[in-house]
Amino acid sequence: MSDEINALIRREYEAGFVTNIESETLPPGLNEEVVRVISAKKNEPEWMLEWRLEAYRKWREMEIPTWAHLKHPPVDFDAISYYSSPKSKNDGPKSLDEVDPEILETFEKLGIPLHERAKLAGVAVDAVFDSVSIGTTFKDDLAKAGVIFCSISEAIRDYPELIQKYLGSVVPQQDNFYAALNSAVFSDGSFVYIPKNTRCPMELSTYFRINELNTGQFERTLIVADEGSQVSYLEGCTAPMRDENQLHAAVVELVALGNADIKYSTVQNWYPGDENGKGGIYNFVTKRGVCDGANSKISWTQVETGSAITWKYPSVILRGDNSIGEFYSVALTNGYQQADTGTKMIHLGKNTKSTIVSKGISAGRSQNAYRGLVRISPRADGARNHTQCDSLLIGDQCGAHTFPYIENKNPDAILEHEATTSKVSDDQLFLCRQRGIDEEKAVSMIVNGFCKEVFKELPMEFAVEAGKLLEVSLEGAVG
Amino acid sequence: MITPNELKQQAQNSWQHQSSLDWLSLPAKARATFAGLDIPTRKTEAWKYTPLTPLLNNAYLANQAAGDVDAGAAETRIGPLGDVSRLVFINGHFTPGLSRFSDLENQGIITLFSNANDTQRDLINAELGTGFEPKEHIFATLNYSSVADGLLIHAPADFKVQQAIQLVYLSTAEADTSLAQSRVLVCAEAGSSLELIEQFDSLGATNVFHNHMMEVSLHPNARMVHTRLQVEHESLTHINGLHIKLAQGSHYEQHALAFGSALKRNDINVSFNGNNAYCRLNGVFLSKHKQHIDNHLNLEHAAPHCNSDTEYKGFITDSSRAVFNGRIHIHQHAQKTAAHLNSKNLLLSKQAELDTKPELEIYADDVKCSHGASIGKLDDKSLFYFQSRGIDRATAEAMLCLGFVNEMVEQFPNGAVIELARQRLAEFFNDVDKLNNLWSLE
Repeated sequence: MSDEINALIRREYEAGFVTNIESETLPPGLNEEVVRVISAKKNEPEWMLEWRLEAYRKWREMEIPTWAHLKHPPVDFDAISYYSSPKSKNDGPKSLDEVDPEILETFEKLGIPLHERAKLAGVAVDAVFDSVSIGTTFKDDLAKAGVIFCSISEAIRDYPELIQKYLGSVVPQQDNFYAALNSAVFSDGSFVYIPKNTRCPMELSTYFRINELNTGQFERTLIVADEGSQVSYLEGCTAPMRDENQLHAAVVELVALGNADIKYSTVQNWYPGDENGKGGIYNFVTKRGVCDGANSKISWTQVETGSAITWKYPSVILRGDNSIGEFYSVALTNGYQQADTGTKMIHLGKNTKSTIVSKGISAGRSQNAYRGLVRISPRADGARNHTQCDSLLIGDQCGAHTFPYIENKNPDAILEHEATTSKVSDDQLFLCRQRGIDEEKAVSMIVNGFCKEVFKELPMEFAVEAGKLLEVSLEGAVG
Repeated sequence: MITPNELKQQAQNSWQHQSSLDWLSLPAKARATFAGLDIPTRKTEAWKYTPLTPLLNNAYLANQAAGDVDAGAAETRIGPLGDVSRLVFINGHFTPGLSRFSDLENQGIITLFSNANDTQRDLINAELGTGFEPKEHIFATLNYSSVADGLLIHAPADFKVQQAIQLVYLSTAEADTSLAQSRVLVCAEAGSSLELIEQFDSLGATNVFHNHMMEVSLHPNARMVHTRLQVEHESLTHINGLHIKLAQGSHYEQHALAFGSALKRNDINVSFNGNNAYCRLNGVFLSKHKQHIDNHLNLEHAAPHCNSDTEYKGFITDSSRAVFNGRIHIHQHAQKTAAHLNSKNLLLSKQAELDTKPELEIYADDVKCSHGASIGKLDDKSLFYFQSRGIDRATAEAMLCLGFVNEMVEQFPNGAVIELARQRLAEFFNDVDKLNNLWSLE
């Protein structure tokens, strides 16, 4: 590989700046007291505290999962601060004007000017800075449609009946180690409720950013789409450059009732660590949706380019008859990044359909694994699944892996799984170069073509961002 | 029912009554390794879908199976394969009366461990137990923990073994549930070639746990064609390890037919250690009633320019359960590898279950790898095509099933083996609803 190409691979992390603001951070370590303090800081009702404590007690008894194709030093859960909030004002900002200009500038640098972008793109952004939601745009417009879009802390205070009904209904507290941890200490996140037969008037969006040193970010997102409703939700993530590994353990729960349609898109660009694999975010995320009613649909689209470690399996439980689950993923790893990501499609209802398209690109010294489960229950007559996992290897120091689990208990179901692994072929490169396209551009085109099936599922603004992200990472990475 | 720990204890106790060949170094090592291992449970990834219930419910390890048999019945069951060298093992015990291989014995190509001369002993000591990671194969370790005898097949350099070698393993009904163990070491020197036919069969119902091991080492440019019929009675518990090492330019080809039983587990592990080696694994497995069959394939591509093709088919009906796990592992230096794996499955019953996991683990970039898996019922369009030509639905279904299985059986390299396979398939389908006249359709 030429120096030029190596330089491109070793590009600087563009979102790796630190914002200097005063913040209030709990001392590291986790015990019942910390859970109580977090709950108290949020002015949470008693039942919420109980719920957290229950999760904490279960977490204490659980073991760290080791089955993933990942190698990392054990995470010291006592070295992490479980709560960090910008500024120590007890009364948080009520409107964007009250938000610290430096924070706004941070978002500006990240390319999400809350005022402008929201207006131009018609996107309502709920920005989460470390653990506290700092402002939600377009709240009024949404309120008119009856849509609830607020931080989860507000929702716990203002809509307790919805939270009590749905929180933990898809991802129970004891679901897995990281979900239990999140349930105990989650500090903020977003809550969305779309009323019956309502089409959400705009795309909803959250932007996560980890700023404080030695903090973990534990946000919790809950989206409930009532019967006949429709919503598209976007999530983006970045973090500053730090030498230490930071922990991100989020939980996202989606509930789609009869005929509802939820589309959840993620562009994840957490700090991946430096060229020697030092630092970076440990991203242990539990994302799951349930198609509860008939004819409902949940679609996950993710573009994963960041994080030192990605451990993430956005899943769909297809409970309602004729419900549909989709998973479209592009996972790019470079440097010393490791990704173990994929999906689970659990077919319970009749005529349920699922589609999985996973594109993995490995470069540098990274390891990229697809891990998926398709399970067909005896009741799921007429179930249908198609899975396609393609991997592209760039360089001979990286790895691409596929671990699909297929469990079928119904003779009326049809399942297909295909996986291929290859490099950018010399023929393709030759064809492009023959037509006067330089090598870097050609590779970029080929990789973009490789990912096209997934990109076309992304909302417009994100598709552009995702395409750019890949381009920067991969231009000419073939030697 | 005993616990996995008690099973382990049972195995270790059984060693007190078993003597191994005194010149063999492996058993002592294997016992030490076994002591440090745990009996797999549902939480063990490689045994996730295969519970060891039959082993925990029957005190197989408490008794050693004997090798007594009615010679006439055995001869009838084995069936004639024409001009082959034949070795018969009853419950793991070599049975000279039923075997005929004097030519190859005289040439020193086939030798029982107990008859091995010094050179052969050295070869066995050097090769046995080197084809796999003992920690990952607890039943192989168990097998090597007490080695009363074994079989060495040693093809000298550039020697073409003309006659196919047929190894027959018969399981019978014993007075008590008991353990039968057997092991084979195949060593094909540079440029040699041989054909091996393994027939795992039984004389009616059996109460034996057969734990079998085969290690194959193909030296540069050696060639081996291997047919395996596992057509025993469904009462058998059978765990089978096959570990193959391929040197530069060697060629290994396997065709397998396997029926489910109380518990059947096949581990096939192929290591590509030299350039330009080739491996083909063709297999078809069938399970019915409450049978269980588990196929674990692992292809370790550790050298560049090697190719592998794997094609497995599964036929699963009634309340049976089948597992297929195919792993392709391309090491960092194994550039220019082309490895393809395909698993096609027919699931025909509401109570049946199929779990399949085709895995790719790739650390080299200039490779072409793919795997595919499909699970489905009989194709409606094909059935319609038959029916529109006046063939009733039941017949059409039977013909499609026949075609599905037959496609693999027809590829067997030996005509006599195909005939034998068909006989056993006819027995298998005898009590499968709607398919019992399957073979009369041809």
